[in-house]
Amino acid sequence: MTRLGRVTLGAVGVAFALGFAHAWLNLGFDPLARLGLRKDTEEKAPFRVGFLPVT
Amino acid sequence: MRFSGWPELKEAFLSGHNPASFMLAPMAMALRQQGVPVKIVYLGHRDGSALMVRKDSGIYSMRDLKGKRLAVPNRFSNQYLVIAKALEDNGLTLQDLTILEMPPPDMPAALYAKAVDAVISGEPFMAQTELDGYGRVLYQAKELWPNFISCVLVVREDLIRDHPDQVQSLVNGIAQSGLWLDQSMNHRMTAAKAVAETYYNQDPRLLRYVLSKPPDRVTYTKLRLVKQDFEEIERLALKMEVLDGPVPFDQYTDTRFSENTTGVGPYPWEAP
Repeated sequence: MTRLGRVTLGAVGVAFALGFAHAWLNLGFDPLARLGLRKDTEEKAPFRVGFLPVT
Repeated sequence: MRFSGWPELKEAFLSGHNPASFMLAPMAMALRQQGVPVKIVYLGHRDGSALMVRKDSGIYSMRDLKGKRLAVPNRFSNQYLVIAKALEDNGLTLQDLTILEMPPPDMPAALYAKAVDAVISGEPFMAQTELDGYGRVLYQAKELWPNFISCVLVVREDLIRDHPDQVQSLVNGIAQSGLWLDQSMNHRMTAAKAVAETYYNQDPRLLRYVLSKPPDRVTYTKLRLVKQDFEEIERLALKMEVLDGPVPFDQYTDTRFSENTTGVGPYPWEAP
């Protein structure tokens, strides 16, 4: 593989890794749940009610 | 899930982090007007807001506020609207004083440091200025606007569609808690301790004070949605340009859950 090919492949790999990490950490994408290795976390999420400590 | 300021709470709600939230009534109406799929399903409480000044301020009426600095929780709050209404009743306008938006927890310190001349918000932050010895009640909000509404329970429409049973349980729980609270002073004192330590992380003495001095400083019954109440909020919000245009009551409320609380009684629970 040429040097240009390696750099292109590396750039694509880095972009993919960043996108994957962003989706996992910030966008609620759970790869383990998608692969059926874990029950969907959505079902286990607690029911949250937002409030300010005012009467 | 506890927040310190209304903007943060609103953003968390919009992101879907919490499918239900207690929120300022005009803020919820404005969100709906902007196309956010949410509905008001119940009230959080009635009254329980006060306009405070420093003891040594020499401010004894709305007219004395002319040229002063006043902190409100948010422009999309009934506290902002009640100030506008009271000023208007006294021949003044919002342009006659400087209005600042400030998170309620920051208000006592701002009043103490004379960063502002007056503050208005929900309790217990107003009572804190009294207990600490430098604040004085200029008006309870209910003196300016009887049956004052501050916070309402807002839920996302997808929750109503997919889990109406959960919404009803939540509304029933609030209704039963409110009836239980207003049943006796003993209940209020028990709740003050539990809520202060478990949810609010505040001095129980402060909540005991808020819930008893006077006993109707804040009330937790009559929380069903009443169209006339919201029409008054809408009227003032339109006048103060908090809302861009009229919003039909049916568009931003779902009264089914509120109506289903008819006949619900207080929790039969007694403190051990």
